[in-house]
Amino acid sequence: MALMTLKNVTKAFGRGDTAVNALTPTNLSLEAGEFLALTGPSGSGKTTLLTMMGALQTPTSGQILLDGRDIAQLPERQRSQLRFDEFGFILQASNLVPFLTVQEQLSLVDRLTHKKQPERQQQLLTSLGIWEQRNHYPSELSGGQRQRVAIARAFYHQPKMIFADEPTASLDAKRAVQVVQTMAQMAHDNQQAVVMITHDDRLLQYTDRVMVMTDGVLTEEKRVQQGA
Amino acid sequence: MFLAYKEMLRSKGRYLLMILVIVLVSYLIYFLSGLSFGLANNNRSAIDRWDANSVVISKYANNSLASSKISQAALPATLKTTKNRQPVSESMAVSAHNNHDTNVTVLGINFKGFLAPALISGRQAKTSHEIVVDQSLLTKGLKKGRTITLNGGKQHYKIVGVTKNNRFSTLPVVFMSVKNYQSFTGTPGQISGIVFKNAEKSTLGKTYQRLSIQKLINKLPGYSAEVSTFELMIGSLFVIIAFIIGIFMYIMTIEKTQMYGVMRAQGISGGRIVKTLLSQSFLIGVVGIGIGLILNQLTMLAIPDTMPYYSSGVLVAGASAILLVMVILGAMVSIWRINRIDPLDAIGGES
Ligand SMILES: Nc1ncnc2c1ncn2[C@@H]1O[C@H](COP(=O)(O)OP(=O)(O)OP(=O)(O)O)[C@@H](O)[C@H]1O
Ligand SMILES: [Mg+2]
Repeated sequence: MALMTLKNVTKAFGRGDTAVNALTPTNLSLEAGEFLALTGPSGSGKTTLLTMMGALQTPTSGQILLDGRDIAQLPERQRSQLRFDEFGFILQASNLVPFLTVQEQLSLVDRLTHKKQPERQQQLLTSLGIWEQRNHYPSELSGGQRQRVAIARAFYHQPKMIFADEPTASLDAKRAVQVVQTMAQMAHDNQQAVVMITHDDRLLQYTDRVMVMTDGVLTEEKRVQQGA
Repeated sequence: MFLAYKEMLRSKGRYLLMILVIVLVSYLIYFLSGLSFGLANNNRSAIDRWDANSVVISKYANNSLASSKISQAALPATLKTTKNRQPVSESMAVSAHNNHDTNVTVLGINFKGFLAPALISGRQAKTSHEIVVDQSLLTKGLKKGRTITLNGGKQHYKIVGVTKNNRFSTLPVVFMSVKNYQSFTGTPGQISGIVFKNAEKSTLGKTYQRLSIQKLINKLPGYSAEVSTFELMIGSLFVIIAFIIGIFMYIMTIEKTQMYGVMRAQGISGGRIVKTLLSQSFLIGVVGIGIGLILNQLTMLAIPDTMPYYSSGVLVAGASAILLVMVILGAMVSIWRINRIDPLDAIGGES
């Protein structure tokens, strides 16, 4: 069974004449360990789709099944818990807490879950190459380092799915490639599904699957070359 | 608590600034209430010592004991002196010794009745021209055994006993017998009022009126105006501190909107964010009020005895509790803002 399945999911903003159909009925199925890239012009509905999959907002109609359970219309309190337990987010801007050090960003999660996993902290930060910076505050890190901390934060509690909205927008090309490669590596190693929005076509080659959004219509892109 | 504490450590300046404001306001509140309580006490302490229920005075006297004149001979049976019903006379006078003049309140009382003051040294007055005085009168070499004159008269009054905390209308009290008082003022057979130890029913008619002790105090010249001025100032400070902390916290909350949005997106509940905010305000409140209290204690050590400053533990504890509540209330305004934070704000949006 697929990890996440979307059935005729739509989203409209506003009502009546002024309604905007941001997403036409959309079907999609995502497996564990799959790295999906979402591209398309600005305003086409990528973020709208991602936030509904990530339980940040509810669709106007349709079903979103996570492990067979429909999460589409859950109340905010339950969606919040779901996001905490099952999802990780990597956002364009820094999504780090400014007054916590790199390691404390992870300790915060431990405190909320009443667990202690110092070995996992070290292993994760080391594999992302930021263990040396563990006592630095976000303001003391480079953009690339910050995004790697964000990745660590998103993967730390071993969520089923990771959602990333233009995670490399603030990075140079070389850093962007490194960050995306790391995400792909971690997704494959831990069988986590990743959905990443990007405008950078050079990054698509590191993903497993590419879908294009145009005016609220989602289409699968035929891979030109596999594993380039 | 982890978040609350880490944030405070990381932005020490802001929180220290808020603590400083709380210190200043709490110190001001303690100081003003000490002063207000001290001044009030100076007005009323002699009356409080009576530990009485009410006083009957002339109807025409417009609630003023000093203006009341009652002829003892004309008193009806229900107002005649008994163990629990004692005559009192009151007027202001100028006491002099060695060319030092001091304003005093002279009280004519019966030294064998319940109005007799508690002594810290000496004895109650017995023969004529003996007096008991409040210890605050004993300056410039005046002491027990010495004499004073009153209102420039020739008669010397000998101090045989000393009492403390007996001031009336802010002046130290000179106690003398009713008889002595009548000859001093040249009003034989006259008193100012009758003090009732307990609640009693008496026919008062058109001649007399009864004042509760509280009303007697409230009608002391200047007393009510003074007390209400202080109450207004202190009350305003409580409101002001809530506003200042509220505005501070609100601005800081707005600044952190993006971060809170990210936290909400990550599934961290609004309740936890609110808890962080409240524990921060509790912490700065406790620290600020604590420092204010210490400053107040130091001030009490430094204040001269002549300054009417009276800091009661209950009063200070009450003020501190209200202060803490106001600080937290101020911070609570931001809850409304936190609850409006949309996790969606964290995503893309204004890129
Ligand atoms: N809260 C909202 N209210 C009304 N309309 C909205 C809202 N959010 C998005 N839209 C509209 O939905 C459409 C899709 O927006 P969306 O943010 O998903 O685009 P996008 O593909 O992520 O664009 P970009 O690449 O610029 O981030 C746009 O027309 C947008 O104006
Ligand atoms: Mg977008």
